[in-house]
Amino acid sequence: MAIKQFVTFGINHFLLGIDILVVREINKVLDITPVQRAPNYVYGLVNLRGQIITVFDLGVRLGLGPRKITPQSHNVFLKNELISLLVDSIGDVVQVNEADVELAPAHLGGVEKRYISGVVKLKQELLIILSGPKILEYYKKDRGKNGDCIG
Amino acid sequence: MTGSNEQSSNSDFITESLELLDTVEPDLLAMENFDTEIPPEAINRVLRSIHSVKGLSGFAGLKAVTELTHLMETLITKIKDGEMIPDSAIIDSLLAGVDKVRIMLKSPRESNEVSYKDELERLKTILSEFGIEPEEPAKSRPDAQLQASFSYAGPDIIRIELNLATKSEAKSVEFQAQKQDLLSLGGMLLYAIRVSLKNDLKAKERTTEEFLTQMKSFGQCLDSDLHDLGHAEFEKGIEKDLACHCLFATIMESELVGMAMEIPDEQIFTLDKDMLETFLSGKDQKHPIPQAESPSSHQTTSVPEKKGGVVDKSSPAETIRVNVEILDTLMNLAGELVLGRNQLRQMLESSGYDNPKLGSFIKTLDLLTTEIQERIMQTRMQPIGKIFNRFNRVVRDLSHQLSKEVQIFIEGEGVELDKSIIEGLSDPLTHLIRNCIDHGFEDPDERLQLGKPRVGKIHLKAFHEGGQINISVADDGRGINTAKLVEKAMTNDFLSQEEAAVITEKEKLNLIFLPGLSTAKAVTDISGRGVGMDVVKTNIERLGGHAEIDSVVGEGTTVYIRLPLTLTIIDSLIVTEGKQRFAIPLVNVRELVCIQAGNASQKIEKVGSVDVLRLRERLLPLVRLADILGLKRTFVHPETSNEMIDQRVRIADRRQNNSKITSNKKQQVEKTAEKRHPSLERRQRRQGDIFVVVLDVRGNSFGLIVNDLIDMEEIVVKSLSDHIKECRCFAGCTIMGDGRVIMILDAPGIADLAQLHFGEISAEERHRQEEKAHTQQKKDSGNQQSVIIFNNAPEEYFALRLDEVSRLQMVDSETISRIGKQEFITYDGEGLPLIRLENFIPVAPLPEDVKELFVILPKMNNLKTGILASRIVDSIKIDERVQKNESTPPGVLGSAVVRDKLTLFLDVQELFKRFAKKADKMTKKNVQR
Repeated sequence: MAIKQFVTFGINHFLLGIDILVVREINKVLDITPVQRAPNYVYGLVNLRGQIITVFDLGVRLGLGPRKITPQSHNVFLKNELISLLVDSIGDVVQVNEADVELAPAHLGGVEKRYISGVVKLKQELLIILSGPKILEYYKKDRGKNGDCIG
Repeated sequence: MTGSNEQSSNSDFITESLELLDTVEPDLLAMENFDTEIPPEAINRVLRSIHSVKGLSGFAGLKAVTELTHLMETLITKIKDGEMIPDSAIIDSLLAGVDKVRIMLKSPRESNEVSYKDELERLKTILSEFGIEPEEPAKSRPDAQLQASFSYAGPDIIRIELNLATKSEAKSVEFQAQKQDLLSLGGMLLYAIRVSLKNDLKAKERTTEEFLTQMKSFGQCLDSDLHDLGHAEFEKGIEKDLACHCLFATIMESELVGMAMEIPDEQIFTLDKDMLETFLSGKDQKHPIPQAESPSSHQTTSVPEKKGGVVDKSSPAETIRVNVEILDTLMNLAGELVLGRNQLRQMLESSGYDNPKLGSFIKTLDLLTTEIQERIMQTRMQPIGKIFNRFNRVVRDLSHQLSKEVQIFIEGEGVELDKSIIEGLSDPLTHLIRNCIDHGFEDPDERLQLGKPRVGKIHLKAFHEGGQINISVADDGRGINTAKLVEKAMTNDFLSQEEAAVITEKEKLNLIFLPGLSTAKAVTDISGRGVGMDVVKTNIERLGGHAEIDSVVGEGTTVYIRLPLTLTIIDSLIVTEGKQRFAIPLVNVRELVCIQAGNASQKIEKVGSVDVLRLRERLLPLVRLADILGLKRTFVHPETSNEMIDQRVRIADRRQNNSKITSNKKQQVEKTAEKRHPSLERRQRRQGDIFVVVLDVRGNSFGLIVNDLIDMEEIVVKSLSDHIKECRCFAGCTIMGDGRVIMILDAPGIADLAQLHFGEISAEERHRQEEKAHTQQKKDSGNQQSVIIFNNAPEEYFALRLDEVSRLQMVDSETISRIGKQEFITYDGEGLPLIRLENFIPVAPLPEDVKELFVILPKMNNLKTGILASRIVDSIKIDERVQKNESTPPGVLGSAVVRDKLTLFLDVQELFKRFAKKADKMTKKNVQR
C-alpha cells in the first residue's frame, strides 16, 4: 500500500493536488514580469534566486479562466523544470493511499481532462490530481487555438 | 570495464597533442622568416612539442604518429644544430607532417591506417640530401649485440634471457617480469640497464634505493637484482666491481635514458620489442593463458603517472581544463552575488547605518563581488590570436597554391573575446582572408606593372573601441569594381535601373553582402570579392556583430567587423513602455531621437501604411513598442505618476493629407487602418516628447517609439523557456538590480512583426531625393540670384538682378528736368535720361507727389540711362524660379512671388532697346518737324 503525498491548492472552487515529489518549493507570489505575445497560459517570468522561472497561469492551462493576483495567490515551483504554477490559494499536504486514487469522471466542471491523472474523495471534498509532466508539455497547437497574445 | 578509462586517457592525450601541435605551427613559420638567425627559443619549443607528441603517441600505441614525429624531430634537431637552414621546402615538409599527425590524432583508431608515406618520404629525402641517414625510431632498431630469448617462468611471469655483451665483457642476464607489465607497455621502450655498483652508484654517491626511485620517476622498473641487494652484499659488490641489471620500461630513448640515469651509453641495451610481442602473441595462441583483466587495471594506474611526468616537462604555463558548464554556473552565481549585494546595500541605505564600520565593510564586499564577476568573465575570454595565428599558415599555403606573393601582418593578437565568439569567428575570417588572396590580389607581375610592390599585404588587426571589439581585414589588392557589382545586381533583379542610378557608393559596395550575388562567378572574377560574403555577414551578425566593407578600386579593400566582447553580458538600453521596463541590446541601437512635443506633426508623416520620421533627409519607419507588444498605449502622468490610457487615435496632421499617397498605397492604408493607429500627434501629457530609439536591423533602420528612456546598463542575457521562445519579439530576458525580470527586445523580430516594408520606404526616400535633386536643378537653371526689389507704384514690386545694377542714386524730384517728354537728371556732370516703367510696360504710374525718388543705374556700356523708382525695398537672394507666360509683357522676364509679393523681374536689355527705339523715333519725329 503505497502512500502518496500531494500538495493541494485551489483554483476557483476546485481543490487540486500535485505529487509532492515534483514540487520544488512554494512561494508567495513574487514580482511577475508579463511576457507579451506569449501563449496565454504563460503568466510571466519571475526571478527565483537568479533563475528565470516561467509562471504558468494554471487557471488558463486548465481551461478555468485567467487568474487575478490576490494576497492568497501562490506560486508552486516545480522540480527539474524552470516552471511554476500560479494558484489562487495553497492548501495542506494531503496523504492519500494510492489505491484510493480513482479515474477522473467524464465531467469535471470544465477542467481540461488531459492534465488530470485522477481524483481522490477526501472527507469533505474532491481532490483533483494533476499530472505533473502533462502540465509542462508544450502543445504547439495551443498557440494556434488560444491565440498568441495576452493583450 | 576499463574501456572508458582508457578512452578518456586517450582523448586527454589527443587534446594534449593537438594543443602541442598548435604551438608548433607558428614557430615553424617564424623559423622560415628568420633567414639569418633563428631564435633558439622557437626551435626549442618546436623540438619540445614534437618530442612530447612523439612520446605521447608512442605511449598510446600510435605507431604511425611516432614514426612521423620521430623523423620530424630528427630534422628539427639538425636545424637546431645549424646543420640545416630551414628553407621553405623543409618547412613545407614539416608543416605537412604536422598536418598529417593532426589528421591521425583526430581519428586515433584509424591512425595506423592513414597513409603517411608521402610525408615520410619528403622528410627522408630532405634528410638524405643533407647526407643524413634518417635513423629509425629507437624501438624498431634492435641492438645488434642483444640476443634475447623469452620463456614462461610461470603462468603470468615471463623470463627474459639476455646476452649482454660489451667489448669488455660478455655476460648473460636473466630477468623475470610480470606478463601484465609487458602487455601494458604500449609505446614504451624496453631497456636492460647495467649498473656498475662502483662506478655508477658509489662514485656518484647514490644508494640502490635512490637509484631505483630515480629510475621510477622516468619509467617503470620491471625487474632488477638491485632489489635483493643487502647492505653487506652491496659493499662486497663494490669491492668486486660487480654490476647489477635492471629491466626498465620508459618512453625515453636510449641516449636520454643514459643522461637521465647518469649511466654510460654502452651500459644501456635496447630490447627488441617486436620479438617480445611476437612471443607474447604466439604463446597466447598456443596456451590460452587467461588474459586476466588485471593488465588493464595496471595500465590505468600506471598511465596517469607516466603521462603526468612527461607532460609537465613540456607544458609552458600552468593551466587546467575546466568544463564550460561549470564556468557558466559560476557566472550565474556571480551575477546573483552582485544582486544580493545590491539588495543588501539598498536595504542598509534605506534603514540607515547604525554601525559606522558597516560602510567600509559594504565597500569591501562591493569590490570583492565586482572582482569575482570580472575574473569569472575572464575565464571565458580567450585571446583572438588563437585564430589569428592560424592565418599565417593559411596565407602561406594559399599564396603558394595560387602563385601569388602575399604577406600577412597581424596586430592585436592579445585582444580577448568570449570563447564562443572566437569559435564563431574562425569561419568568416578564413573566408575573408581566402577572398583576399584568391580574388583581392593581382598577380605579382601585374602588381609590378601597376607600380605596386610585388608582395601583396594583408593587415589583420583587432582592437578595442567603445566596449566593442573591432577587427579589420585590409588588403592592398585591386579593390572592388562597384560598377560590375551594380550590373550584376541589376541582372539578378536585386536592383532596378532607377535605384541603381541613385544609390551611393557605399550602398553599391554593400551589394556584395546580398546572398545571390556572392556566388556569381562573373562578379568574383572581376570585382575581386564576393564568395559567400553574405555568409560572412550572417555569421558575424549571429555573433551580435556587424560587418562593413570599404574599397577603393586599385588600392584595396577593407572589411570592418564589430563584435561585442561577450555574448552573455551585453550593453543595453533600458526603456519603458507603460510601467514595464525593457532592455534593447545596444548593438542594435543606432541613435536616440527625441521629438519635442510641438514638433511631432512636422516631423512625422505617412508613407503607405507606415508612419515615418523625417530624420536628416531620410525617412525612418516608426513602430510603437506598445502596438507590437499588444499593450495599451499608456503614458505615465508626470505629476501623479499614474498610468493613463493614451486616447489619441487621430490622423496625424494636415501635412499628411497633402502627402502624395498613391492609390495602391491608399489601399494599404485602408487594409491596415483598423490594426494600426497612425496618430503620432502631440502627446497629451505636459512633457509630450516622443522618444524614438533608432534600431539597425540587417542594414535597415527603423524607429521604435517608447514611453521613456531610462538608462544604459550592462545586463546578463538569460535564455527563454520553450514556452515563450516563439514570441519573436524577445531575444531573452535578464534580471535587474532590483531582482525583477525584464525582457530583452529583439530588434529583427520587432521589424518582422511590424511588417515594415523597408523597400517601399526607401523607394519613397529615393523619390523625394530625386525630387529634391530635380528642384535643385531647376534652381540652378533659374540661377539663384541677388536681386534688388523696388517699387514704382507703392503696391507694385519689381526686381532687378543685382549684377545688372551699377549704382543706386537718391534724387529729389525737383532736380529732374524735362526735355520734351524725356526726363533727365544731372549725373557726373552729364544729363542722364530717365526711364519711367509705366511708359514701357503696363504698370501703374509712379505717384506724382513723391519728393524723394531713386534712380537705378544699370550696367550698360553704350547707353547711359536710369530707371526711376519710388522706393528701394530690399536687396535679397532668392531662388524662386521666374515664371513666364503669354501675358508677360515685353521688357519683363517674368514674375515670381518674393516674400509673399508678386514681383516682376525686369528685362533690362529689352527695356533699353525699347527706350532707344522710342528715343530714336522721337528724334526722327523732331527732325521731321
